[in-house]
Amino acid sequence: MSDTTSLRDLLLARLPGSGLSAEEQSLLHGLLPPARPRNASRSGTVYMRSITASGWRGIGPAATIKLNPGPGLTLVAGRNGSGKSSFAEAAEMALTGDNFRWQGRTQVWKKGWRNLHEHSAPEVAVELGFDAGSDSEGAKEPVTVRRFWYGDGLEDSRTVVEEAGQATGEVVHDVIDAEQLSLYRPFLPYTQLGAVINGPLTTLHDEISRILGLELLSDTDAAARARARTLTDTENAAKALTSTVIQELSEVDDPRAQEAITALSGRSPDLETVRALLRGHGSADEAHLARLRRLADLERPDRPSIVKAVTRLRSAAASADDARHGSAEDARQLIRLLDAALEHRRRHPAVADCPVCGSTDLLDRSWTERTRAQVERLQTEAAEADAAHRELANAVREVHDLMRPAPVWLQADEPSLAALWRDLVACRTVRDPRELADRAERAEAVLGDACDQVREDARRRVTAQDGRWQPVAARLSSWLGQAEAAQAAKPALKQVKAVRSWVRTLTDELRDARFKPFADQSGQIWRLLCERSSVLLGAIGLTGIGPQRQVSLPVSVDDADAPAFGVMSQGELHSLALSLFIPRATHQDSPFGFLVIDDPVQSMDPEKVDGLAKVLDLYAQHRQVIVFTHDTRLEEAIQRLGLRATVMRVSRQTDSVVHVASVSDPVSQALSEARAIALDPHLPPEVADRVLPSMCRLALEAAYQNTARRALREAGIGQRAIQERVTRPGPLTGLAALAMGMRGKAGREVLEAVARDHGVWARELIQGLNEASHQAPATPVGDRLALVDRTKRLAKEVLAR
Amino acid sequence: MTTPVRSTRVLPTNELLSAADRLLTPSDDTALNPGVRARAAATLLRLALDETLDAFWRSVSPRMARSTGRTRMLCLQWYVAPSVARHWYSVWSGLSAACHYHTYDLPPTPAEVRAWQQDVGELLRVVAAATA
Repeated sequence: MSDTTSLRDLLLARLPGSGLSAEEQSLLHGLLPPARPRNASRSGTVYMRSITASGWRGIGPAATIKLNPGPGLTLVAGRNGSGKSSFAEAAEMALTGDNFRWQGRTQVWKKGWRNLHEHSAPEVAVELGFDAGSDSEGAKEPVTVRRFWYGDGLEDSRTVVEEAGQATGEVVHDVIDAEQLSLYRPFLPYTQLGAVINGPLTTLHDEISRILGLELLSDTDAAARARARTLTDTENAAKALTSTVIQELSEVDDPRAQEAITALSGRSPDLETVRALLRGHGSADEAHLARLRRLADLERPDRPSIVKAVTRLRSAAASADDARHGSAEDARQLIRLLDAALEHRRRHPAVADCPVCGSTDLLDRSWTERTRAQVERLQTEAAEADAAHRELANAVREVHDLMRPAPVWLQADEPSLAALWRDLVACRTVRDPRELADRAERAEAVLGDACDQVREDARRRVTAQDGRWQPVAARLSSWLGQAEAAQAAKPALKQVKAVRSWVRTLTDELRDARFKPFADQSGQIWRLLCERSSVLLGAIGLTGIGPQRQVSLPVSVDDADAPAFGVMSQGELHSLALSLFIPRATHQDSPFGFLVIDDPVQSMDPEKVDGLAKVLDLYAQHRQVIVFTHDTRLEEAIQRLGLRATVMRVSRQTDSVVHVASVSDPVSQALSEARAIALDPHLPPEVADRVLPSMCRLALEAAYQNTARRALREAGIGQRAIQERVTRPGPLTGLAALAMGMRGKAGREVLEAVARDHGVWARELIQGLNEASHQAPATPVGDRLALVDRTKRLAKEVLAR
Repeated sequence: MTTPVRSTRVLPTNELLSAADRLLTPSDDTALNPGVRARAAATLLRLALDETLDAFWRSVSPRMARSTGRTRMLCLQWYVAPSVARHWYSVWSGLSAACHYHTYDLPPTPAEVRAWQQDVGELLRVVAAATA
């Protein structure tokens, strides 16, 4: 749809000057619905070439209405029950599989669709012609959409699409876009005329908005509204979750939970604190849990080393004792004594007497040797005793070294354990090896056990707290996610608001601008239909937003405002429905070149019928207007007003045998008027000379127009171009040139071709008619009836080309 | 129409129009019911159309007075604009229907005929201009 595309472009073009921030603009880009491609594979305006039905409603054996596939008015007249409405419904049913008449009806109603007399399967078919359109790919093959029923229900139908008698494998929706069919509604049955405005005006508002391409804006607004709702939901969900999580936290015995509650309780939650808590750096964690964690990691004094050192100490002490209590020290003194005696002997080698005890002959050579050996032995013993003392001193130092002090923090964290630890350290002051060994051994045993106990206890408590905290932390972290989303939602919500208000302003502006031509057309139709009505219809409009949106129909009676539906007659209501429907069905973006109206004349008074004829003629200039009617009033009005139309009559014989006969068309209409004039014996010659050639010329013009349209259509020219070429004022030879495929050729050449194709008389006829209508006073026409007959003959030959 | 003593012109066209106008906008003391007044006014208006068209055709060709109504209507569009001729016929047909009794139809209302009255006034001006 061109309007939608251009609306998107227009919106995007306006965006830089909208005053929206860059974020808001990109938000709007995201909200715009994606451009929608057309469903139907065929392009170009669709016209109907024929409608066929069999076994359908009032139609028994197959019957066909042939239509002129281009702009123009076709009237299908027939008495009530003749089957004319069955044709209208057949066309609608073939293309839509549905019909307003059947919607919402009861089963009894829905059962009446099969023809009673025809027992073969019902079938309806529409032959469609596609306008070359702007892409001008040349002439397109007509397509037949055939719907047949395989079951008993109205819904049990299938369609086949045929081109040149061959099924193409497509279904109806490949040819006709179902959505556009419901959007533009080129079918307007009588029952729907009443329902148009009986239905909710909100629906009508939406449908017209879509036609005007405004759905892009309303869709965008709806998307923005949905986005805003999501954001608000996020905020509300976060709020609701906050109170739930606070409740859950209060049930958890953990200092972190307490801290989290404080963080969550403020007017705007303290997300930073919660984040720190979840990372394990909360202040509550520092104080309490850090102590437990330290205790859990507490290292007791090294028992095996201490045991080993104590054992060494004890054995060193025993060795030292042996050395002291034995002869080691004595040995040293004895060595000194003996050394002195030996020195005495050395200085007095001749004297063998002892100077101490006075014994004689004792200190001889053998004594010297014995004593020297004794001194050597004693020296060895003394060295051993020195070693034992050194070893003892070392053993004591080792034990002292192992009595290491407690970590500094322990005093604050666990004072009783620290006291035990001090006992251990106090061992350092003990000098006595045996006492040291005993005390160190005892202190270590007590402290080691206490340490084990404290550590195990701390470990248990840490594990227990973490076990409780874990689910809370998980909950808290999901809360954090929500809260962060809610925090982000706040500015986003503001952006959406700004975007919506801009879109709304644009909607108001574009709605007014785009609806105006539509409203103008409606007003024009209303005025033509209800020229003499006391009910005045003001400027209709699309008003309101949201649930209040509707089509406003300002109606006044004798200058007093009135509700539309209270003061209008049935005929006026129908006129109003037509006023709303025709601009819609004939909207420039509609792919449907046809408009089918079933029985619009009912409940219209004669004035309105004249008006209706004028409206139909107006729209038939650019659309294929097909009107089904049950009486002759519309036909009479058309003839009276001299409007061009093709009239067909549907009649129904027994056993539902339906006949369609062509009654008149623009050519026969013009010819019959010319004949009526020619037959009037009292027509003065001067009037006949002026009038009759012009009337005959009109008949030929109609014939050439018809053939020219067909020729141009077959040459693949679009209807718009055809209409423009065919209705351009000019000489008859111009139209003849179009009809004969001689566009642009000189009038003389065209006339020669006419003489060649139809005979010299035909050329003379055209020349005569041209002269007569361009000269004053006119040349005498001679035999009036003969002139009309010649015209008729040429018109027939032209039409048969 | 019987016009024994006085000549063909019973009332000049503008007097027909003002008579119709009086019928359509009556004083309070009128004894005629609206249906009768509307029908009478329609008759007067159609008479005004007929007389004006007769005068027009007399000025073109006196012999046209003898031709059929349809002929005169169909020929009119070649002397005045086709839209005027069609409008003429349409209004004339409406008035004709209104001034005859139909067993199946209700009489016209004064409001309906008043709308025609405006059309008639306009048509008379156009055709009178063409006559001169």
